[in-house]
Amino acid sequence: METHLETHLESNAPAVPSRPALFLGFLEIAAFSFGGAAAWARRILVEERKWLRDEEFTEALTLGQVLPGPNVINLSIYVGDRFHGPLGAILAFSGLMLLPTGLAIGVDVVLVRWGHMSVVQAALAGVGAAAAGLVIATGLKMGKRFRGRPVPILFAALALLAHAVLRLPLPAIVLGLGPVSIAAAWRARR
Amino acid sequence: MKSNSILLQLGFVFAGLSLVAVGGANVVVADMHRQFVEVRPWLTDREFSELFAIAQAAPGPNAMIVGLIGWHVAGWAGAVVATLAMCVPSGLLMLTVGRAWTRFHDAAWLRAVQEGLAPITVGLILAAGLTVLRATSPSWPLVLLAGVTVAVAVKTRLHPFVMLALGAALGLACAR
Repeated sequence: METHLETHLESNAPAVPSRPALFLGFLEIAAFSFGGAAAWARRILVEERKWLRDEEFTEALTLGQVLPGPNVINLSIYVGDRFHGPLGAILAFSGLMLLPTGLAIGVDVVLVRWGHMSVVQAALAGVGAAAAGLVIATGLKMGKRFRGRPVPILFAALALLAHAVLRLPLPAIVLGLGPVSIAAAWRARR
Repeated sequence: MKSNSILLQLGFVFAGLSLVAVGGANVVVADMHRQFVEVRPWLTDREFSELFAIAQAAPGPNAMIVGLIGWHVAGWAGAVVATLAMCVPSGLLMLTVGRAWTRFHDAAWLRAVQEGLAPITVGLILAAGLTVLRATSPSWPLVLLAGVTVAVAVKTRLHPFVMLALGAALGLACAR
């Protein structure tokens, strides 16, 4: 009986997008996603277009994060495939990447034309410094939840030192530290 | 440099990074610097940090940086090869696993993988930020700006664009 009630209460039942809508939906996500595509993806996929329920979205995004590769791009491929198979995945991916890539390339074309000017270089150096700060902040915010837990903090510090100081290649760090950290996390659960 | 060789190298480097980019695109930024500024002299520090600044300022997924570097190094072909090389290997994995797990259960081993990889991702993202900061060859005011940006971004919900604009202004001011 409870399942019937649950089903009825889910009048928020997900809608199924058409192929063009899939492309446009992800186009919309990209247009607004300023440095944080995931938040807008949730807004548009769950709240605005109702293609996914909240838990479905969270699960999909989590899967995209656990698996290697860009998170929201993984999400777009999963969502696209779910509704319209490989073609859907391509539509969602293109919708997501087309505008931002085109825009960024456009800016770079301008940069190549005027980048020799010291004013442009000076301004961009400033933007770069601020952008670096934003990324560091992202890392710190992600790391907040490890506060007071020496083991994860140690692994974060090791990864940071190995990559930024020792300049070890990324695959070596992930394949070297990854399994050890996972084993430690597994042991910690028991 | 033969352009075919450049495209092949772009493809191989990013395809390799695609499968170890645990936690997202930002984690490959420091390695991109290593591969395309240090190992191969394709970009200068300045160019690298400028491309990163553009990718951050523009809307869209962070992974854009990959296509932008591809573009800068080898035009349209470079942009396409780099982007696809970065996104397709991991995307195929996502597709395959996603289909096999239509309902994603809170399996204990999955949580362990997640918990285990998370701190490494954090370390790599911090490395990315530091690498970009180094690449801007910052003057002390800009280092300070980066620090202030960190504090503001962590503590407040101020729109990131404000800090980027301040960065531009400070950069200009320091140049005089």
